[in-house]
Amino acid sequence: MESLSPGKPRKTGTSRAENGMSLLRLWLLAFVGFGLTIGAWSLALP
Amino acid sequence: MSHALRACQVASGDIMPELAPRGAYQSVPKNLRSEHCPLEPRACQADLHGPQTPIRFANSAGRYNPFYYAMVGAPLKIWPTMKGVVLARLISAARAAALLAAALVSVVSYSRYRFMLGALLFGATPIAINMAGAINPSGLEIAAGIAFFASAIPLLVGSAREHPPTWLVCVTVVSAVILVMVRSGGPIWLALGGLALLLPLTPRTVRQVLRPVAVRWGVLVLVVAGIASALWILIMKPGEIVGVSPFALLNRGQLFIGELMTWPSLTQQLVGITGWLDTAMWPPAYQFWQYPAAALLLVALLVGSGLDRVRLLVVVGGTIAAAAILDMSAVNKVGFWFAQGRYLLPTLSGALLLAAWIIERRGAITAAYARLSSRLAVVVTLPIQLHALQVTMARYQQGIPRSSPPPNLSSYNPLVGSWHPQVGSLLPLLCSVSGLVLLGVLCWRLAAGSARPSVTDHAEGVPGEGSDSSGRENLSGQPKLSAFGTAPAQ
Repeated sequence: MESLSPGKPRKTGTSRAENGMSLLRLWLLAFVGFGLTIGAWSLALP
Repeated sequence: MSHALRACQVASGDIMPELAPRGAYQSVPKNLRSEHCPLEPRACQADLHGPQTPIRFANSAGRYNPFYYAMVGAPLKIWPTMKGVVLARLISAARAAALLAAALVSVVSYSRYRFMLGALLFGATPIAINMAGAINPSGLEIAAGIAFFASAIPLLVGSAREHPPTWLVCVTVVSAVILVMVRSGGPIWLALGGLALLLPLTPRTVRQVLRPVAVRWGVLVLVVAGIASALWILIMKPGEIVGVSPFALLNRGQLFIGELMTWPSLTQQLVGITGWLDTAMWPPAYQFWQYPAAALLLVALLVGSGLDRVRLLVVVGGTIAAAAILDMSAVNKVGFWFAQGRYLLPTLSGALLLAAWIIERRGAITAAYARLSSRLAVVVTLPIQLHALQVTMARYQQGIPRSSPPPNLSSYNPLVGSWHPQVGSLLPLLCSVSGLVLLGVLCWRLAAGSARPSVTDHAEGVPGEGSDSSGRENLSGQPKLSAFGTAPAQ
């Protein structure tokens, strides 16, 4: 099981990279979700 | 449209226009000016198809800080038509979405049982999402307020304080800078939020917060932004509302009672009165939204320490007091109560995150109930988000339903009407459904990974694990959180 410690300095570059990628992937998914939800209003407003 | 006009003006280089009694003078393409259609469908006006010859007039948003408008104005300068308006809106939407996504990452990373996830969904109310999709700094301001609280809570009082990751500091600083720059009320909201999270405000507290180098750089950036914002407010006076009141001047008692009487409407507006402030959702939608939010604040007050209660009081009480004072000071000038519920959302949405954090930290909720609460928030809030869009689209396309003859189901059909968005009525609905489903699945799965017994972010109030002598948490470790998608289902 992969684990994250976002607030703690990691021991290896690999774990830092994994940590960053997981956060980035989560941010991207959330960005698309919020973006579509908000963007719908952009298209619908007069 | 006053904000779109200001954006076009800023993109044209006219950043500090000549002041007018109400707003500032500007020259923009004539077709960009449009008026509201009271009660009627949007079809009462042409869709910005008129002549693009420049006209000079006093724009009520002409004095506003150019920070937001510079970010969205370029498409309007290039295409002063509906195409430019929609592109500018999409830029605004992307920026707000980026902030809300950053808030979600912060919550997932640092909320002990991810109980704050539900608070985030309740904080991003339908009017916040609506404004974020329009050309209006209000939406970006609310998103920045939510991102600020979501990131500043772990950074200033939570488990990230000792060794904050750079991304968390960046989210806090960027959201704080946006908050302080986009609207003239922003510095007040940031001051309230910052003060609440820095309490007790002792030299030791400040030293602890400023220990990481990244935080010191962030504070420097924020100070520069604060000075720039203060100078703009002093020079351009964007908050100065000048008008001729049609009413006799109200005395202090009348002002106080009048202000109190605006609050039933304001609490509805916090959730969402859309359209041209004339479109309401199904009435129980407001209760479904307001009651859980109020319960969150009340439980946090109940289980929180004295310091927790003061923090909540500073944020919630300070916001209400500031808004009321500003409103009462303006009504005798303009003749109406100008405050809208959304003005208060940057901090009140943040207060929900703070309340959820307090409840978690005091050990007042179990992992299982936190998971259930977050999933309940998904089930309650996301359908209401879609409902808000549906009634608003129906309003623009068909007008306000009349009482006679009584409205029927087709009166609320967002696919029919005498006016339609340029991209048609189906595409916005499909976008909204897609986004809400994605957010729902994401939050549902994240909630499943929330119960982590290895979290070492100790609860306050437990002997040996509580506050240090300064009243701040004495944390010994960091939360161990699973990556999205790899956590075991609970």
